[in-house]
Amino acid sequence: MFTLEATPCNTLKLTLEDKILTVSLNRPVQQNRVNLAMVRELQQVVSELAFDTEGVRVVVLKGAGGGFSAGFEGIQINAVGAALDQNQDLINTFFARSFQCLPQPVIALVHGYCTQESVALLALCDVAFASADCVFGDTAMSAAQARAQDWITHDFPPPQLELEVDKLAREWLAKDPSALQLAKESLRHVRTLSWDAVLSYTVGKQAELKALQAHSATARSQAVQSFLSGKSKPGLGS
Amino acid sequence: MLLIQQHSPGVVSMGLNRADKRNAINVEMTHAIEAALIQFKYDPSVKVIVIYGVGPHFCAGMDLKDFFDSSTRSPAVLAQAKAATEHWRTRLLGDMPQTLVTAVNGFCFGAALPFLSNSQQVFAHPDAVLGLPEINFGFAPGAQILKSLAQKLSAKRLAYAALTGRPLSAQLAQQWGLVHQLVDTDPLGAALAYAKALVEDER
Repeated sequence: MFTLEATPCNTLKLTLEDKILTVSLNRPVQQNRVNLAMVRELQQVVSELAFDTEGVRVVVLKGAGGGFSAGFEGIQINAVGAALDQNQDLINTFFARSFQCLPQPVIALVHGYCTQESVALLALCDVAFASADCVFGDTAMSAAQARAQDWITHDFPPPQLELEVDKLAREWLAKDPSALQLAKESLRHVRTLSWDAVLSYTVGKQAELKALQAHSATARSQAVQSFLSGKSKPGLGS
Repeated sequence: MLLIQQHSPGVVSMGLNRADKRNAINVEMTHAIEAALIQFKYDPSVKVIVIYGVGPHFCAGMDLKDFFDSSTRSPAVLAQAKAATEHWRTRLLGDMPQTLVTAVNGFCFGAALPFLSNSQQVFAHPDAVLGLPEINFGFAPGAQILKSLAQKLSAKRLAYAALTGRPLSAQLAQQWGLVHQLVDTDPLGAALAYAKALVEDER
C-alpha cells in the first residue's frame, strides 16, 4: 500500500488528501529542473501507486514555487550514442511508461513556466490544466500555442487554476475506478490497434470490467438505475 | 426508425427517427442504419449523404435499455445487433464512396460520435452538446468509439472527453475539429444546401 512515510523523497513533496495524491516537483532553487534523482523518485512513487487503487484515486502533478519546471538537468531521453546503462534505461522507461500506465487518472497543474524539455512531463499526464500566463517549451510559447501543440488541455485565468484542478480531481473521486482505469488503458492503445483488434479488445475489456464490478454495488448499477428512473442526466455530466 | 429522403439530384438524407427517445439507437435502428448505408454504398446516383436527427436532438447514443445490462433481448438478437452496429460504425461509415455531411442539434453522445468523425463536413447548432458520458454511468467508452474519434481529436482532447465525461459545447467541439461550422438557425438546412452545392460543383 502507498504511504507517505514509506516513500521518502528529496526532490519531490508528496501530500495525500481525500485519496488525491499531489506530487510536487520540489527543487525550487533550480526551478524544478528534472534530474536523475527526481526521475528515480518519481518512478518509485509510480511503482507504489500502481498497486494501490484504494488509497490513491487521483494524482496531481505540479511544481513547487514559482513554476512547473524549467527543463532537464544532466539527463536526456533516448540519448543518441549514449551507452544504455541502468540510469539511461530508467529515464527512458520513466518517459515511456510511468504516469501513463497508472490505473489512476493523472492531471498536471501547470503554472508559471513549463519550459525547455519539461513539456515532456505533460505528455505523461492524462489532462493538463495551465494558467493562461504560463510560458512553454524552448521558445516561450503562450498557453494558447501550448493548447494547439496538444501539450495542455485547457488554460484558465491564474486565480482559477487550482480550483479547476481540484474540481476535476473530485469529479474523478465520484467515478468508478475500474471504469476509469479501462478508459485510460483504451486511450493508450486505440491508435495502434487495428480495427479488427480494437473490436476484439473492446469485447474482452468490457467483459473484464463487468466482472470487476460484479462484486459490489458499483457506481455503474447505481448510475444506470438513476438514469433510467429519470433522476440523473449523465450526458450533461450529472 | 430511419427517415430516408431524396432531395436535390444526388443528395439523400438519413434522419435518425426515434425522437421520443432522443434518437437513441436500439436494435431495430441499428439494423436499419446498416441496411441503408449498404444500399447507398452501391447506388451510383447517390453522391452526398446528409445525416441528422429528427426532432430536437441528434442522437443520445446506444439505447442503454436495449443493449446493456438491463436488455431484455435474447442473446442471439443482441449478438446480431451488435455485429450490425460494429459493421456500420467501424467499417461502412469510413468506407462510403459518398461524401458524408452531418447536421447536429441537441444531444450528440457516445455512439453517435462516429457519424461526426467519419463525416467530411459537420454543421452544428451553437446549443448542441456533445460528449462521452459513459464514464458517468460507471462504463468506459468503447475502444472502437475512441479509435474513431482519434481520427479527429488529439490525444489530450480525446482523453479529456473520455475520462471526464463532461459535456462539450458546440463551440469547443468546433475548436477541437469535430464540428466545422456553427449554424444559428437550421443546421440541417445548411447541410442540405452544402450537399446540393457540392453535387452541382462536381458536374
